[in-house]
Amino acid sequence: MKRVIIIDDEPLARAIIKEYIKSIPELEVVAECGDGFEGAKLIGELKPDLIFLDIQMPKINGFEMLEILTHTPAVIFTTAFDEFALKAFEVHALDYLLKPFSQERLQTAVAKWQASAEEKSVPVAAINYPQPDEQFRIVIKDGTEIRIIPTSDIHYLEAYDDYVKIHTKSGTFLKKKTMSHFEQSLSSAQFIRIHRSFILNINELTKIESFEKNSYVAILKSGARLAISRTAYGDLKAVLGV
Amino acid sequence: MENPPSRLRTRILFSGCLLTIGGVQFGLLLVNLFPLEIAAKDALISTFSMIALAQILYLIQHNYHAARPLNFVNFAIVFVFTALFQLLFNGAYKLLFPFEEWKEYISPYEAVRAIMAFFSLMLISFYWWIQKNEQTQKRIREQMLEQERALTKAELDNIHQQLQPHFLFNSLNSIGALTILEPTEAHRMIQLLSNFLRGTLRKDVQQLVPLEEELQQLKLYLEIERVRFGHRLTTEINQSDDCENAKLPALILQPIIENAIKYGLYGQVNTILISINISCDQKLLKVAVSSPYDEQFVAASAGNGFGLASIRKRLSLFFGQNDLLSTTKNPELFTTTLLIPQL
Repeated sequence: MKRVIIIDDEPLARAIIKEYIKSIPELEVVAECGDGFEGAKLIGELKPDLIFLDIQMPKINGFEMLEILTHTPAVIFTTAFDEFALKAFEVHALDYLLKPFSQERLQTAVAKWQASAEEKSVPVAAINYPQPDEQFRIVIKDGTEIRIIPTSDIHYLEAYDDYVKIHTKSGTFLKKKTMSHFEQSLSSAQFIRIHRSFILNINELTKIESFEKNSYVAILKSGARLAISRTAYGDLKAVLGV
Repeated sequence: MENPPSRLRTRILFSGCLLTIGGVQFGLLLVNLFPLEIAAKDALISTFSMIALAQILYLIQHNYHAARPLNFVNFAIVFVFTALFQLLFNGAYKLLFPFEEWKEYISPYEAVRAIMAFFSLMLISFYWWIQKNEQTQKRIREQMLEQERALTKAELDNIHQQLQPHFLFNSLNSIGALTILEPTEAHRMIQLLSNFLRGTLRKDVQQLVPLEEELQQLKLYLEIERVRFGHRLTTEINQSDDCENAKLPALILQPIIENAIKYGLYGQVNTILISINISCDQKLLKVAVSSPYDEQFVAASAGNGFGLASIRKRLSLFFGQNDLLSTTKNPELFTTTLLIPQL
């Protein structure tokens, strides 16, 4: 018996999935919930084999929820319409169901999962493509706590092996993503890649100092000093309008 | 008028006219038995001084034009230029005719010359004024066109917003679920959604509609949302009695409520209450929408503006005022207040 959790903010949407699943004897719905916070908690506790996941949900969206999971089950997305999601589906999910979908469509998705489960497919890892809300916030897991960081609180980002270190006014956090991912997702009017290892929030910049010939350092309100690469110096000047 | 005549063309036109006048002047002088030399020099000097002055006048008016073309300064300039013309003319004669007899020919006509110069310069000034006026008219027409375009765009945006694919497909999904779980409720939901869509498509967003009609449409929307979200969404509408005749732009309330639902529902997992308070005085209809929200999520969600930018834009297009939409926050409630001038 495979264990299933349904995560969707609309009760009727959950009800119909539950109804459809009744026809598949190998599956058992062990829990359902209406937002990403609750979802993350339930998945941690119940360790399901498969989840049906909506994208736009209260508190944190489906993608953000996946990113903070330690145990990642197989995912079938269910969504009404989402320009971000469609891109994501091309890259990732096991399958996606566009609402409203038929019982047969759901059965096909589950069959596909059952077939692939035997081949031991790779679970969802870091998601490096555009997501809703990403311009405005970053969700991270800090020990057992889930934190939502508004992008405006970020001072700068620093490359850190396979992670990106997020420096904010309330401390530093790690997120398993690439620098180029953030470079694309964050608003280019506010965030500038000033170095291979740094992305800077322009609002945090107080001055630019030159410390050797052709070499510059950005000084932040927090006092941090970041190297500026030669190529980025031109871009930075253009953005600042000098 | 397609294009205002270019400055060069205008200046050539002036010069042409003045040359013609010079020719006529020459003819008149000859007919009146002026000696040929005096007639020729007279015509040439006056024509070319006028051309020079006309060019300068035109340039001055073009580059330092006043808000109202027929003002005192313009008259003053024309007077000064007339005087300049007289000085120039007399000066040139003194230089060109060493003998004194020219005075006999010139002096008696000084007044006539001055008046003619004055009117020529006035005509130039006037021509410029007409040109300016046409340009202003054209600019006004362009602004109106621009405004019309902006309204059309707002209308399209609005339709797209009303027909939000997300809303539509989620509603259809709810109907799909209800057909299996609760067929009678599915039937009701189809009615609601149909009426809602009809109401949306039938309305011209450039029109004012009675408050009652707008509220009907809003209630349909809220009813659909209630089916979708079940018990989590409750709404109350408080309306004061004196709002019977109030009007407002069609479909302006729904995006505000939608916004409140989005941040209310997406921020909170518990049941939420959205209250809509409507009050009126003779000149202003006031609609205040309050909903609970969670600072943590709102601050980190839509950036600034709470997705109300399009409403603000629509209002400013409609009423030409930018202060009709405001938002306030207190620890529990987020309130959007809409003011609609009653025309």
